[in-house]
Amino acid sequence: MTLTLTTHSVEETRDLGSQLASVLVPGVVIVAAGGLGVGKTAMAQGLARGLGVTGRVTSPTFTLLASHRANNSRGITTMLHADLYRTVSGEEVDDLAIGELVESGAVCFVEWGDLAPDVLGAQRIFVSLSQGELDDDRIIAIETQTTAVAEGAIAEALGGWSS
Amino acid sequence: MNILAIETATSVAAIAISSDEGTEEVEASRDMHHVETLVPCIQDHLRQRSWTMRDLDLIVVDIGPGLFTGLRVGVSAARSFAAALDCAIVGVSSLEVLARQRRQDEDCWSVIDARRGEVFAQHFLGDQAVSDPLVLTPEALGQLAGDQTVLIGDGAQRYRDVFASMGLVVNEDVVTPSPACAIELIKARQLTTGQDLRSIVPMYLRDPDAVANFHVLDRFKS
Ligand SMILES: Nc1ncnc2c1ncn2[C@@H]1O[C@H](COP(=O)(O)OP(=O)(O)OP(=O)(O)O)[C@@H](O)[C@H]1O
Ligand SMILES: [Mg+2]
Repeated sequence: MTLTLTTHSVEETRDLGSQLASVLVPGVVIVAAGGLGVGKTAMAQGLARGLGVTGRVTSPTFTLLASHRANNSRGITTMLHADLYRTVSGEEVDDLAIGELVESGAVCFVEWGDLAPDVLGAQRIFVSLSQGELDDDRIIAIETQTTAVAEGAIAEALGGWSS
Repeated sequence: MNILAIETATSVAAIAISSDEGTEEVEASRDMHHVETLVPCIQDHLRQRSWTMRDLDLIVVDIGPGLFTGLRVGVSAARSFAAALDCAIVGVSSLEVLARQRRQDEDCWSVIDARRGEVFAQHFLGDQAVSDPLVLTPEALGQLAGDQTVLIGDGAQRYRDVFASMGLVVNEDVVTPSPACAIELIKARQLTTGQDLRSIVPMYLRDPDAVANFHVLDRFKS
């Protein structure tokens, strides 16, 4: 089942990301899809805030993978943030070892994660962002592929944005 | 003979330093921060003995199977030391080292956590491996292992409930490969003269076909 939500500003997308953090558990990978400039990094910044990351979060476009120390009550000690936009092969993505690293008390947000979802670990949540009707509207579709996070819990946490 | 052993196949990184006086084993890190901790740990412990890298006669390194992020740190450190010092190097299997850490008369499976829902495993009788090293789900391993066997290693511990529900025994005492044991293994096998440096590469076991699904064009549409 897909949960479809709408935000109306970049701040709302950040808030949504922050709320999503409240239902995550260690080991979960958020596979984020959606075109250039649609709001993936904005959502990652909100997620970071929700996980208690203090440093600045920007797209790791050149380093491909960034690691931020997190501080929250959910036992998540690290937020990994990947951006696959510049990757050119499945091997290159596999080399990042996201599926392995995330099992050390981390969660990972992967921009352009739909390029190579198979190597991003076993516990995935798919998030697809797209342009809405107005300039600042974004449609955010969320589908959980892991039993580690219940669909109902996501729907409840993000209920304020349902379309 | 002065030997340094490097262990990074699991979330616990460790080293052992051995001389004619005996062997000392030290844990370098427990939480996958192998990149930051391994080399400083080696330097510290050599310094404590007033040794430099040049005092080493042999480097022993665990080549896996194990965690990709750990092995690439340990194996590349071992290889670059060996190359720079022109020192002998020898690789050991994580599963064989583990098997040496249990009572040798037990029928056992060495089981290392491969993450992503799988384990690396190999069957041993006495000091003989009687299967290839495998990568499989804990459930599949449970089906393969007879009820006369004992499971050891961090993979056995992580999935202890799965194994228990299948009537299998997990030995909780043997968790991660011991680099001191790796040195013993190398001595017992008379491999202390070393191996070709080019043959020392991580053993990942996982099929690279699993990464074939890469959508090159998707990002350029819309
Ligand atoms: N509702 C909204 N949600 C998110 N961003 C919005 C929204 N409305 C407007 N924006 C603007 O869209 C842009 C989103 O940029 P962002 O860097 O987050 O995109 P991205 O998906 O990470 O892009 P890239 O693929 O280049 O990494 C920002 O300039 C932001 O201000
Ligand atoms: Mg971005």
